[in-house]
Amino acid sequence: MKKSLSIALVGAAAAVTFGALYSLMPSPDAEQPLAQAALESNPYMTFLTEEQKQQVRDSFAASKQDGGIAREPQLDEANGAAAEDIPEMSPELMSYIANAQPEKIMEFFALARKERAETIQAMMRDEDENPEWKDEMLQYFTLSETLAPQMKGVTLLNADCRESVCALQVDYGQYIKNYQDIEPFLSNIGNLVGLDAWVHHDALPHGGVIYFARENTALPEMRKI
Amino acid sequence: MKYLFRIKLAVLSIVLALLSGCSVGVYDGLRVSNTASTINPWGYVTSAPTSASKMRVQARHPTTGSWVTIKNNVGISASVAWTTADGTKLYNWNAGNIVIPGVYWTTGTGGYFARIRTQWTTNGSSWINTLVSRKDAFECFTENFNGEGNTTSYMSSNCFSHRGEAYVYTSNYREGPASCPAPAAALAKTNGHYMVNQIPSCARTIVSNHMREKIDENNILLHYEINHNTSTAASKNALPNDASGTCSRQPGSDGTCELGGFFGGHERYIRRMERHVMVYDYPWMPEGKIPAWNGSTWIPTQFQNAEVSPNGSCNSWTCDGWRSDPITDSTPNALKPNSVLPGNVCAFASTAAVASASNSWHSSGHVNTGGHFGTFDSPANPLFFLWHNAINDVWVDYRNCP
Repeated sequence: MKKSLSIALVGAAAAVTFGALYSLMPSPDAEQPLAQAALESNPYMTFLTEEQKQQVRDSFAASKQDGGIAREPQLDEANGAAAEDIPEMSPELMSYIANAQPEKIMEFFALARKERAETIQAMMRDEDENPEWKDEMLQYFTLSETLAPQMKGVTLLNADCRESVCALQVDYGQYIKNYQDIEPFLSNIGNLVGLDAWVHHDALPHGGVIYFARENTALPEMRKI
Repeated sequence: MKYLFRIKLAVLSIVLALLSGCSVGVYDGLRVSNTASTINPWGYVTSAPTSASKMRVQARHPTTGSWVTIKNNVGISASVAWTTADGTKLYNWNAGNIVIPGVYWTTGTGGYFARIRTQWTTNGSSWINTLVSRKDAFECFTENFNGEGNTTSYMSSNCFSHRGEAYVYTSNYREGPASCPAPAAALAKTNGHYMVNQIPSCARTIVSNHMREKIDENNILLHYEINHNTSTAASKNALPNDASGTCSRQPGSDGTCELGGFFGGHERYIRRMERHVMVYDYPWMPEGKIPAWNGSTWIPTQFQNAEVSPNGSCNSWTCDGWRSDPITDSTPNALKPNSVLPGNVCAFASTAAVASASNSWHSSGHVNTGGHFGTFDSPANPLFFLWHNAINDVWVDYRNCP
């Protein structure tokens, strides 16, 4: 949350955020039996001795005596801190988490990636082609195969370089089933050439699109999640 | 494409492993006295020089945004400077002393910063960036847990800045607005770090945001590589009581706990986070030391939420993503036992006994806080590292016993 926002706005955002969060949570009283059962099967209980488990049970019970869920932001006393920054979050996303809908979350992020790609493509449509930059990027792509053998399994399908953005469509080939073997390299490819880059990894059925921003510029960000 | 994010631990070692060279002399986060100070860019490349091989040093112009060469035609020594444990020969380059021209400095809070990068060409035309080290480069290069150190794969996976360039700061520069205070010189530190409740809210936001940059599935899965049953494994160990499925949940894992035992494994894990934030040289994280939260104070808002998995979060250990469900208690009151307070902890006869005495406190912090924090996906929240920093203080205090 930007520091330039007024305290009032921060407060309003805090109220909305905590309201949204709180609405997703069971009340402390209703939660107790469920929480106790969950406690016994909690992974952090599995490696404890019986004596240690009892200490955790006691601590858990005591912690619920203090009012349980903190319903509103409290001010800490250190250094005169007067206002809290409330991390931004998407209520839509939080509802998927609370309702255990991982497929919805995947759709949510896939849509965000698609929107970012569409923003970049809209920029490209307004720009002229840049054949010199395209040649340079093709050289780098070839060079990357020399520097990282993993890249030899990735096929360049198309290169479209405009004034501010260059898009390389790639087919993952054998890596479609083992994307993790190539993902660390692809995600760092921007650092290699010193350009801001983003891999839209699921743009194509068997591949993706690597977008590069022209030197000293940046690609549009993904919308705030 | 669910499987796309199932990243095996093994792939950590391939990130740019075979690429380019590195800059060591000018590392990311370097402090200099002032804008007239000299810097000495030097480093290594991974192949013997040819007639076309050379290095160059560039600075980023803060107004135009362009990278400008400030030192060209830097030669590479034909002598092998270092042979790593995996047999890779490293060749030294050294650009000599350089004063960064004034035009490349950007004014910031309390001082200035400049952005420097080095590039290498093997054919005289295609330039590629080198990796950029951090302040603890040589400690990182040569550390040897599991016999994995001093290899190019380990170095490239662990010992270089994620930013790919070196930010050089003048001595009094600090991140953030001038209104966000730096720690007072007299403010006490605990084992070299601050406690989170000592840090003003504006600075906590900066700390939390930098830590969140490091959180992804790969990093979260590493938590499953810690043997929570053994206090100080000197090497990887099978989890003897793997009822929680920790070290075998890692896709592709052979069931061993790569990071080691409870204390040592978590310390190594924390260290990875500290190395990430080290490059910012933020005064509330001196030498990259992240703050600690000891379970007795309120969890600040910046540390209440987990990062959300783009591959789906759920409330099950079997989902492809990780858990991000909200914590259920921001005042969990997991109180540190008296027996492991500084001084008292020295009464224990062994590290294993110290770990045993800390176990219920550790577990209480997780389960009392609840939600994602009560699971082994808890490193999705930077609070995890603050919490374990406090746990690790017990081990540090024990090691410091007379």
